[in-house]
Amino acid sequence: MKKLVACSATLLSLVIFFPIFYSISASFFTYTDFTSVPARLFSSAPTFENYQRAFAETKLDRFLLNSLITASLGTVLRMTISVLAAYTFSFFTFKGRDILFVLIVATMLLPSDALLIANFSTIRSLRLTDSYLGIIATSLLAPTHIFMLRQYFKTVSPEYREAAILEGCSDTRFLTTLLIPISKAVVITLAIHSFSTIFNDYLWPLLVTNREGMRTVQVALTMLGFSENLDYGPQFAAITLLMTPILIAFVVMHKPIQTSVSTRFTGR
Amino acid sequence: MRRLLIIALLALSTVQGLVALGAPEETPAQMKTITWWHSNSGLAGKATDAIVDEFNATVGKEKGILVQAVYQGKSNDVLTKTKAILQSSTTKDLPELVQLDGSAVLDIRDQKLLIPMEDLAKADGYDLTNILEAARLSVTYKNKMIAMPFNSSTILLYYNKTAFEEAGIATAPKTLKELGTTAKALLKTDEKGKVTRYGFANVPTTYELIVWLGQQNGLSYLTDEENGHTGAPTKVLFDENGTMTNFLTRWKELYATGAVENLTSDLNGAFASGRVAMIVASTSNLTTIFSMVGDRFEVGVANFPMVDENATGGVNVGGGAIYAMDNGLGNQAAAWEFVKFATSAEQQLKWHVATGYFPVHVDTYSLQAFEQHLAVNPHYGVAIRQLMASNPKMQGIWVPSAYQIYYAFQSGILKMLEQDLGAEETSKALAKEINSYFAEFLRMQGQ
Repeated sequence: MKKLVACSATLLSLVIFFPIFYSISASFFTYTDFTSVPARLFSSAPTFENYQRAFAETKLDRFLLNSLITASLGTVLRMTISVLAAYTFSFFTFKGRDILFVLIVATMLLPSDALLIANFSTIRSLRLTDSYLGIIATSLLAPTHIFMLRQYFKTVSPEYREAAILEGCSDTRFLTTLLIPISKAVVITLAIHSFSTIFNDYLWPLLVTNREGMRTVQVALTMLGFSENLDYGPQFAAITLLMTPILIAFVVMHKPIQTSVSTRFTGR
Repeated sequence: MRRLLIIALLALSTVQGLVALGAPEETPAQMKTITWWHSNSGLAGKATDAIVDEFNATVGKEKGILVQAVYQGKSNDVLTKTKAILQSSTTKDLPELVQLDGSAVLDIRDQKLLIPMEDLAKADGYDLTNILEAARLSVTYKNKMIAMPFNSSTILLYYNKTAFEEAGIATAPKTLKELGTTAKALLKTDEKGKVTRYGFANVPTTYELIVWLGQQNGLSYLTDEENGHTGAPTKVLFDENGTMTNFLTRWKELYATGAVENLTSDLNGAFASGRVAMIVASTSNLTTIFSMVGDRFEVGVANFPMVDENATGGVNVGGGAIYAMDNGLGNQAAAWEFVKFATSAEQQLKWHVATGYFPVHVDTYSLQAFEQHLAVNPHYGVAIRQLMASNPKMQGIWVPSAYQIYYAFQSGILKMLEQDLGAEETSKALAKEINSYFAEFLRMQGQ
């Protein structure tokens, strides 16, 4: 039984690992390596040319910076809003709380594509096109994050807060020194998720930016290829570069992520 | 608490800086800035920038026009973005020029803010016969040229010349029947009977059928309203005029040779790797396919095979065009200056050499530099001679539900081959399905 589990786990991880491995390997391919028969796993003559071309043919460094700024800023703001909202929904009682919560959660059902044009008009009226705020504005309210955080906060007994308040602890202090530390796992997981979704977004940043200097990396990826061209090298080089920050974040944070999906707060 | 306040202030100030970063770039006041949205990436992207740079340094500088080419993602993304602005209340963010492909026509042709390119040309006294007739008609709606053809292409047969020589085949197939014989001769199997090389690979869908149905009897339309070029189509004609049944009958014969692979994607890759000896693809793939194959084998190109001897219509012009928009800034004349420049004989030559899209200006063909280019790259000559011999009235289809129709063709033909259905019944089933999409569209339009 144990062997079976180990075997299938290995197999599964190989399936997940392969695309990552292949894009790294393919980023060193030469032009003809992509169409050679039989297909190759490794480059016939490893070269950094694809990386050089990716940087030479687009302003990849600028795009990367834009993506990092929008993804980090978006994540910080989104997490702040989500944590505060979830805190309110789980520890305070006020009129209309549940209705409000249901309303927010109900927006999870709206496909973002359906809101695309309406959101675009709003951002344009606010004169936020071609700005970082415009790129992140629509991702600031994340109902899934609020929902998940609230569910987690609910597992923390309200008596903790009552006791803390009685001892003269403010809400801010309770939140920052107690609640967030004990919810670290969920918060970090959601933050990484936030970062990668904002970082990976393609259509929205494309829609709200016109100037090349405001473009994000996902747009650069399509710039590097010609729809009728099989010159994938520079694209793979860019993909490898894009994967790296998220991969590093995941590797560094894998412990809290693991705990967040396997445990809940028990008060111990 | 104070620390928090400082952090908040700091955060606020960064945010402000970020918004400021988004302020538009300064341009000299007397210059007219023309924005051109396009989807040209990779090789075509470089060629696009070259045209714009040259314009800005020459004609633009002289006339006080600065063109800014903005890559707005894939063709479909450019359309999404354009539509988003057209649907919102203010339109001053509209670019003066937008490059879109054929599938965008339906969304754009009736827009009030579209300035028909023909009007701009006429205002300048420009002779539209400078533009290749087939290309011009490819963007003509209700007898008016609504856009300027720019990245134009046609369909072509690519073949593995080395494999042809090994099999002792001297000439490329001219009809589907010949294609079958040739494909069979090129078919290779290993000792277990597994196919290692197919003669030909294709599952016909909109792109191919426009030609294979349209070329029959000199010229046939797939739908009424001249393939949608005079108005929204109400029904298909391919069932009534028998072109579909005729084509499907020939296709079944071709498939029966066992040398045709039902491949729906990455045909270029299959061809370049030598797994398939012949494919049909756009002329804009020329540069790509040649570099993909490298020195693995010799590539030949030939006219797109005719359905039969009576199918003399030739091929149609596909690809994209540049549309002019009215954003209220009164830049139309300046925008036209650029369009005129980009489609001039000299620029079209450069564009053609860089990308493989064929020149839309008639004078390009008589330039000495063009003849020299053809002498070095004879393959381009094949595509151009094929187009010149075609009926210019043969045009692509402008239909609603283009995606559904594309898959209807593809799956309908696959079903026919796999279940061995009759040509006539398949034609009828396809007509019924596609007619229902037309009816749905007209109902939604309230007609």
